[in-house]
Amino acid sequence: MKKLSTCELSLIWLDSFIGLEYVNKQELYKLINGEKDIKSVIEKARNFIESKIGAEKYLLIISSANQTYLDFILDGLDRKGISAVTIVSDEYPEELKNITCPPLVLYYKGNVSLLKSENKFGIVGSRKSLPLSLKITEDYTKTLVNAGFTPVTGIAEGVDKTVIETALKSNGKAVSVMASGFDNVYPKAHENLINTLVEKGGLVITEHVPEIVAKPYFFPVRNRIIAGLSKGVLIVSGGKHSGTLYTAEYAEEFGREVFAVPYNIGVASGVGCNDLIKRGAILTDNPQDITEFYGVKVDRQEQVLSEIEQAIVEVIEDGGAHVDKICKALDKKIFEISPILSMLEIKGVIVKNGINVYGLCRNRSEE
Amino acid sequence: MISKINSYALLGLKGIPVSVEVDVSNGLPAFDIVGLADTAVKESKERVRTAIKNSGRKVPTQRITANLAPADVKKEGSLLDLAIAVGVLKASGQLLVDVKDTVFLGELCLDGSVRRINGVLPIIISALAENYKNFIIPFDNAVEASYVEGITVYAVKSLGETIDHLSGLKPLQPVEKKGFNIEQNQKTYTSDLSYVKGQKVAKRALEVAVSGGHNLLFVGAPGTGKTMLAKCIPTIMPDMSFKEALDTTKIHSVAGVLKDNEGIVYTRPFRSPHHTSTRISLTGGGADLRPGEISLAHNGVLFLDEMPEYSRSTLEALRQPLEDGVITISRVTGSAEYPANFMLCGSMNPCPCGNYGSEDKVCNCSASAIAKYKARISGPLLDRIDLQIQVDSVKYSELTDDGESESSAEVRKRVNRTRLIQKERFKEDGIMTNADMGEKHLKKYCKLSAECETILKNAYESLGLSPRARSRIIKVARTIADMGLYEEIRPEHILEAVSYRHS
Repeated sequence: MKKLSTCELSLIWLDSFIGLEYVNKQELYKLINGEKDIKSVIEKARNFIESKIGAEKYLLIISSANQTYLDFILDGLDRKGISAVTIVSDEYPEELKNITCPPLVLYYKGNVSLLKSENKFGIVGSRKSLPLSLKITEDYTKTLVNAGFTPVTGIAEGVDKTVIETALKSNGKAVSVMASGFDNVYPKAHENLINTLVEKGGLVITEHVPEIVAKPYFFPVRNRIIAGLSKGVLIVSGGKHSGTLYTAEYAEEFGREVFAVPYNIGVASGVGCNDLIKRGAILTDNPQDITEFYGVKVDRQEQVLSEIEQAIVEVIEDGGAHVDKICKALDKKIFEISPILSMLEIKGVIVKNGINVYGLCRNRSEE
Repeated sequence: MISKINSYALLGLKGIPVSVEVDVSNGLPAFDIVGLADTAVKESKERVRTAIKNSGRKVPTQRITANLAPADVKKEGSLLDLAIAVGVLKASGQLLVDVKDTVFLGELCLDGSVRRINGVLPIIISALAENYKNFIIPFDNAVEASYVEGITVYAVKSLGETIDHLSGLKPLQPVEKKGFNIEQNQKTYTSDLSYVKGQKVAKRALEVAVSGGHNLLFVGAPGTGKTMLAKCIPTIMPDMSFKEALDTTKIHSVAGVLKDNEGIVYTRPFRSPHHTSTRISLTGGGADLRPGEISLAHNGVLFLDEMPEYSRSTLEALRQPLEDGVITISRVTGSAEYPANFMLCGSMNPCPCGNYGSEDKVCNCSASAIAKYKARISGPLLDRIDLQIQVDSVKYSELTDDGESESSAEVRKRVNRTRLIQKERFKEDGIMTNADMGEKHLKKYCKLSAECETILKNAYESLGLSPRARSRIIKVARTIADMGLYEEIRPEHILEAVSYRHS
């Protein structure tokens, strides 16, 4: 870890007290801000705690008010390869300071300069998304990365994972915000994903000290950081009560653009997205909507389709189609159709959206 | 006086010659059986005694000793009863003919009638190899023996009949020989592909799997017809050759699952052990070295419904037989080798609740629950499964739709043709089907054009295929090419094979 200023150190020290409420932390921080050496910081803190919070309740904090304890914290972080950036650090992004309850300390692994990168854009969606939604995620992430954006997302299954993987595959970077400490990655299976992301120049952050285990209510709270970091957020999918919707809510609150992908009536994992659109989110059905909104011009890649491929696409176009329906519509045998479906899948035009049901990944451009 | 009668005991699929020596000498009346006999054999003295009495003959009131040679091989079951009884009669002078060329097999009832036994066919085949040509067997086993050429078999209903026949009082006619006629006997399946409505993808995949001998896995929600489809597999499998039928019959005969008047197994076996089955019941074993389900499925289909529900060790035990086509069981009583060349067909739900991937139903399973469920089938086992077929629920309109639906017989014709192509191709390689191909054969018979290579590469990148999938896809593509009578694997074959990938 690089050399930290007294102020940064005092914040890290403060943040290590899990039971201390955010408001108190903030008050304390205001009080000790500007102190030159750690000793006087600790001295002031002791007075504050004794007078305001009650000494007997916070005996632990008082007894931990010494250099040995601070060294212990810093060594612990160091050993785990975790660094910390505080609200007073140079690396702390300005836009994050403007949100409600900006995290005082962010613990991170990876490329911290991404925090300050210009075009951070949130891409989030529910854990249980249709294959079609994941394909859409892939499409958007790829285009945005190629247009110079840095995707910001969580670390869950489904959309989050797809965003990170696609960004890395497209030689881009991504920022992942966790809802737990680094010792207790949730889901545990994604520890590898985090390592890969860090290795390839991405960034993983969390506002929690390493020992914290994610509780269900941490996730919506975490989403404020995703929204806070981003210029805008894209909601790829989300059911009626999906946690993803919190991200949209925060984004709205912080004055960031909210984009949402529309869904058919009856698609459970898309109800939330449609609700957002009703409430004024920007409807997007192709990645260029977003890049162009931010004034980045991207050429749209069109796949050249053969005649029969075109015919199949036309059948699928109307909200997806079952293989049997495609066979019937084109009057072909199954073994004539399956190779073409595979080809279209490889070309990224359609996606298997359920069992033997295919859906179109994007709207066709009109000739 | 001493008598010597030929009989056989079973060890696995092999018959072991047993010479039954009976001596009747003066002394206190007693009946002893020596020579490593199990309980069923030991008890046979009671059956023999009463059977002789009730057949109107006399049990000598002398000391009777029966020895089963060789004395160091464990003899099991009741099939030596008839030989011992004949031995007693001969030793006591009640039967005077020479029977040293004849093999006696059969269990006795107290009233002197002869009961059906297990394993007649493998015993006859083993005995024939040692040049025994005359057999006296239970009447109920007659059909089984009627398919073996070059022997004379007399089927007896009782001990009395046996004695009358041997002494020439009432000679029996030898059992009539039956020819192996697959055409006359194949219409015995209860399932047929034409009964399955819709499911075009699954039906096509079934044909591909059977044509190339590929193992397959059905993935689909409960009640989508996975079992029904699986039951159709034997109906489209190529006709059994006489050798195949004989091999399967031998195993079924040993296990005692032959139907009464079946004689020889004409239909390919379809075994579907429940998922609570133990490892031993699948692989075979036990003190008496019984064949397991995988051997009973020899030349047919082993269907594992709800595959992830089987215990891990049960599934892992399948790996070696899947590779080698035989299984060797060793127990304290000896070791037996059973053929186990079966097509593995599994079925599973996409997730614990069954709704994952469905468009109109919500899946309530967590990602880790789904991963855990899928991980119950290990990677090495999945590697042996070339095709994965997703089965979806059929819409009501399709159930009532009277569209063209091919019958199993038509499909089987094509399968026979495709299998013939493979037989011809692999005649020097010692394998039968595309599924058996190793890396060496893939290089030799599955050269890919540049175009095909590009497609595979693109598929690998955009569909996230695992590197392991490559050889599976090429093997399946080879089969699809064979079905279309193509020499070379063409792009569309690769593409269709890609559609049967694991998800």
